[in-house]
Amino acid sequence: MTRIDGIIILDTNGKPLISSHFPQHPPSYATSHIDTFNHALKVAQASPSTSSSTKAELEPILWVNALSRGAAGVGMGGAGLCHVEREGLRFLVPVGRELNPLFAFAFLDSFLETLTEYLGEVTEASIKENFDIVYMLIEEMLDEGHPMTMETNMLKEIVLPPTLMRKLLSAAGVSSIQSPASAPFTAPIPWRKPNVRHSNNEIYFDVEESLDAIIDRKGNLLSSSITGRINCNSRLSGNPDLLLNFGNAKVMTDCGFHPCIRYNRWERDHVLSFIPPDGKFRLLEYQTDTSIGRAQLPLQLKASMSIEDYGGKFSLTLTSRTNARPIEDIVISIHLGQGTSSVSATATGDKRMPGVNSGGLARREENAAEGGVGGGTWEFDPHTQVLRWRLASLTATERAPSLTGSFTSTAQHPVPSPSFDLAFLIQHQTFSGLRIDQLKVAGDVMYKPFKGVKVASKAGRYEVRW
Amino acid sequence: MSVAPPRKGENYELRQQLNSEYREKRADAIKRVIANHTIGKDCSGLFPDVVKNMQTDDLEQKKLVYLYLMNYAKTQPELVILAVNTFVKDTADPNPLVRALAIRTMSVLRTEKTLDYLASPLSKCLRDENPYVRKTAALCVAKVFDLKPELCVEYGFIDTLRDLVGDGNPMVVANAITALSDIHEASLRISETPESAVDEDGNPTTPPTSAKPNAHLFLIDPPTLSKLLVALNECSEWGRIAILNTLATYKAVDTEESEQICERVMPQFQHNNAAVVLGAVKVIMVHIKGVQREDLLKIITRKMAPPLVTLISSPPEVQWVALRNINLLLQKRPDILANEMRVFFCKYNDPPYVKVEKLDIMVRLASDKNVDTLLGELKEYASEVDVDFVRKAVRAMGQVAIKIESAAERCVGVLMELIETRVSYVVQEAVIVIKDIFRKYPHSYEAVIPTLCANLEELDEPEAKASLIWIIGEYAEKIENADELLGHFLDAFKEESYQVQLQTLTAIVKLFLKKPDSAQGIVQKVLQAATKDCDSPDVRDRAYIYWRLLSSDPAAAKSVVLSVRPPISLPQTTVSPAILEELLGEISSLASVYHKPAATFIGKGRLGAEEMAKRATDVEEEVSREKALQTVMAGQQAENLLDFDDEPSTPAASASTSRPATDRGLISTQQIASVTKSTNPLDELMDLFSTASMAVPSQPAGVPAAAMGSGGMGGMGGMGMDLMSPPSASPVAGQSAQQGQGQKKADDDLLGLF
Repeated sequence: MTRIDGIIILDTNGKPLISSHFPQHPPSYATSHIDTFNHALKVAQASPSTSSSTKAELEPILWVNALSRGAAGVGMGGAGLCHVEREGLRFLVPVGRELNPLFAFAFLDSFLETLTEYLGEVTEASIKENFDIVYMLIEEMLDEGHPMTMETNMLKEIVLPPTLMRKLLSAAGVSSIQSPASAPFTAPIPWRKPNVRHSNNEIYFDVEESLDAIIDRKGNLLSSSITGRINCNSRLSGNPDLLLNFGNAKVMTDCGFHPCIRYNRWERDHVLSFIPPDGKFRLLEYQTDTSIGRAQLPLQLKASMSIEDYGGKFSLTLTSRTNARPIEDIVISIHLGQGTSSVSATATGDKRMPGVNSGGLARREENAAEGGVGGGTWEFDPHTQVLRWRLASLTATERAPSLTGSFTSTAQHPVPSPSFDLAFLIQHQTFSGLRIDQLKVAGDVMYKPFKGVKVASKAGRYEVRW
Repeated sequence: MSVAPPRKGENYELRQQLNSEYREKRADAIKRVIANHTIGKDCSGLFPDVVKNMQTDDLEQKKLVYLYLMNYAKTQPELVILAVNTFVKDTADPNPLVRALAIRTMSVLRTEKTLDYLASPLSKCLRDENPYVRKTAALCVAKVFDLKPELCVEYGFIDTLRDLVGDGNPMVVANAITALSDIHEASLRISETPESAVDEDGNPTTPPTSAKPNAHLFLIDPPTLSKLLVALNECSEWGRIAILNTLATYKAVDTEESEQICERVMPQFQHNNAAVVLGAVKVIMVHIKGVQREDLLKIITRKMAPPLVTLISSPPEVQWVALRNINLLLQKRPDILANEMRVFFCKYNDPPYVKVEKLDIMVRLASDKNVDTLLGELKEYASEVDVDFVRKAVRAMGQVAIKIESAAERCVGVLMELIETRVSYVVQEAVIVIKDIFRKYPHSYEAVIPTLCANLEELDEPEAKASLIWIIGEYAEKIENADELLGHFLDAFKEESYQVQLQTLTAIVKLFLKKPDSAQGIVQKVLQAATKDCDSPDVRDRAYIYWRLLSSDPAAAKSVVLSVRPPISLPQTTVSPAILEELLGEISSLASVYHKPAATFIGKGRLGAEEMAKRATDVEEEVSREKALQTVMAGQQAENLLDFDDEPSTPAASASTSRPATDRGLISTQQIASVTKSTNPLDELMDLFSTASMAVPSQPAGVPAAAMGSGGMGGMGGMGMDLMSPPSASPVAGQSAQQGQGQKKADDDLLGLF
């Protein structure tokens, strides 16, 4: 049924940091899961077939066998163990009965989101420092494996987040004055806390589309998908009832909605009608089937690589296809294979100087000599054997930047990863061209909120083969 | 508590602080106790001192004390009673948070003594004005039921829960449903326990005697169903998951209800929580059977694919679970993602477990239209560094070739290119795959054989070697230096694995039958080596059979060893149809991830698990037995066809097309023609074997009859045994293994006969 057994957090060395308690299980329950996990991890790391570029990866669900049970024992002859890794920490969720494993992962996801909300960064140190809060959160979120209170909005009423003020007070020996609200959950809307008051009423929508793609060596688009999400930060008083109109709602297919959205309205009119939670939340996720052709790719990377004994040569050229906006934060990376010892390369490109027309032979000479200001910078990390080429921005009008060079390796036949990973960001533009038209506010509110919309598109998992 | 606690050490210090008159000192101490507990130090000795701090206005301190109590109540059951008063008092606290906390902690303590004190506060909290308290209390009922079911019956908690399903607050509804379904599950467990106690050699499993909850504690009636469907759209994702789960176990009374459920559940595909999406898919898969309206069916099929595809762009863990489930769905409904193959292209940075699943799905989706793209992709993958993945990619090429005839030539082309790379593991895998292609399309691609033979020296894995030897044996008449090549293997005969030995033996015998003049010497040698120097009974027995066949009746030997083998085909499913049906009902569960019915790994304790596992094997055995029968039956029909001079439109023919891979090589033509009128094909088969073995004269005394029987099967059972590939290696190999299993069954019966 819909119940997990609990949660265990392991530190970077595989030692338990915090674990929920397992009242229905024998005392060794948590330990046997931890042991199984660490053992599996060790095996995976030792296995020679693990590809060199990726770290050892375990199947996301392990099987923990032969747990001794008393007569009162429930469930299976073993248990599934779902796990994820964040910042070196491992979060384990044992599942002792038949269950939708995605439920466990969804819980972990939500749990981590809440932790981030509370602690800022989820690290070993921050968890250790606030272990009491983490404990209380676990207790509040899980009631013997049933998710209890999962909405961050609600949790904040029950478990107070650590604030500087409270830290100071406790350091000074004054007991906390602040105490949780005494009548929680009286709100009729489960995701919104009651009686919200903000002095400035504002709401921000953050539309972000990301493009996953595989480009083959001829530059053809093999497969692509565009995932979009609208994140929202709502700071509105009272219980506002919002109506969001799109100029072209049809571009969104396969939407995944926040529970606050009224599904029937969407089906009928293709508008989003909802009472938002307070604070940050993900309003909507969608896919768009705007088929992107080769020509619409915002950025083209021509890559060639040749392998020789003990090394190889590469040459990359980038062209922007986006006329309207500069492409920013471009990072091209590749794993050059085990044994790569050094890289030498030259980046060339236009000198970035707004207003100055680069022309004439002399000027170009100068650029090349400078090592290419517009050509960006490159770096090679000998530990991970990853070569990275970064460009702050690129426009369609400037000369195509390029990176050529060679690398040496201790291996006779170096095996670099067969593709380059590409990351970039384009502000103020979406792939699908989705437009937010209008936001109407109704409900028991008398104010006119400030509305903000930010739009960006970026590369998700974007691979270019060479 | 007879031993006086030590007067120093950290616990002593903590005890001092816990009893301090200063509030903040006590609060600090409690935190430290919890911190010590976190790092695994035993703090049970501080129990009485911590309990003293229960009465406080500071909610956080109270929470930490309660936390401590939950962890140590089990070790100090007699001391818990000290805390009960405070608990009961707290359940009437004006602050709902305190009320909820108290009732929850009490139900988690799991001690008999506190339970009795819990009953009356719990029934108050179930009717509390605050929804937070109500929803907490709802879950407590399930916990109490687990410990003391009769208490729930006595106080009517279950009826109260049913009322809560109609509560105005969706979160309360969700929790009430969760609790009810937990109780339902637990009550099933209880009612089953006495049975299993009898079954399993009288193991005392302590059946709760006084409990008399009926097994139908949570049956959804029409009003509840409509309440659930309403709540589905209102509660949080967690509640939705619980409701969807319950809906999946519900048996709709009529078509209308099934259709209603499907219609109401479909919008859940559009939730941004993957667990909800998959849960909805499960409900649909369960209830779609009852749907009759054509238009609705169409809508469902159309709407099911996109959310599944969306899951592929999730984090790897979710992706993996989704892929495993998609793999299963495709086995039943290959059409739902027919145009989406590109979505499953592997990215280099995908984790290995995701890549392998994607590969499998791509092969499933392969068709005439997309096969070129697919082959290009697979070739790409074959150049990666991850050995496992490369091998699987090469294997996938073979599967594509076998699945799509028109693409076979291109597949062979790509495979040959790969062999030219001379990367050892690629070459070996390619050889294995090409062997499979030869089995499917005999005499089609003989031109590649010289290239394969040129790579003979590079092979060092038994399976690859065995494959190449098989190819040489099959095409011995076309390979000029076949005796030389096989001689090469014969020289190292003793060091080889059995798999290679068996293949060498068979290949040389084939060579001899095809070119009797030049291979006389080598066949003598191999028979000598196999019967004298080999310690595997399989190899030895097969050698004896060949020997006898060759010496008594070379013509019979020819018809047995060189008979035409049926082509192999790619199985549509990786699990048997019966299990597939069962698994489809469990979409989105662990069972669907492991592709094993839940019964095989879920049971009531260990004995139960074994029992369940046995039941599942029974099912499998049944299936394989049926298969064996089918195989024989189909074999007969195929032979009948031959007699009828190719009349493919007979009913028998259409029956046999369902299983085209018939074992014609099993028995020689004339013999099978004589048993066409049989009622039980298996019996006839046995007769046949007994006469066949009688027909071989001059048996040397050294061979026991039983070994003779199994050896006979091994030698004659054309394809099943001829290619010994490990069962898990690939679906293709799995197929042959399955047939081997089927034959084994026949084999056993055969032994009985002797």
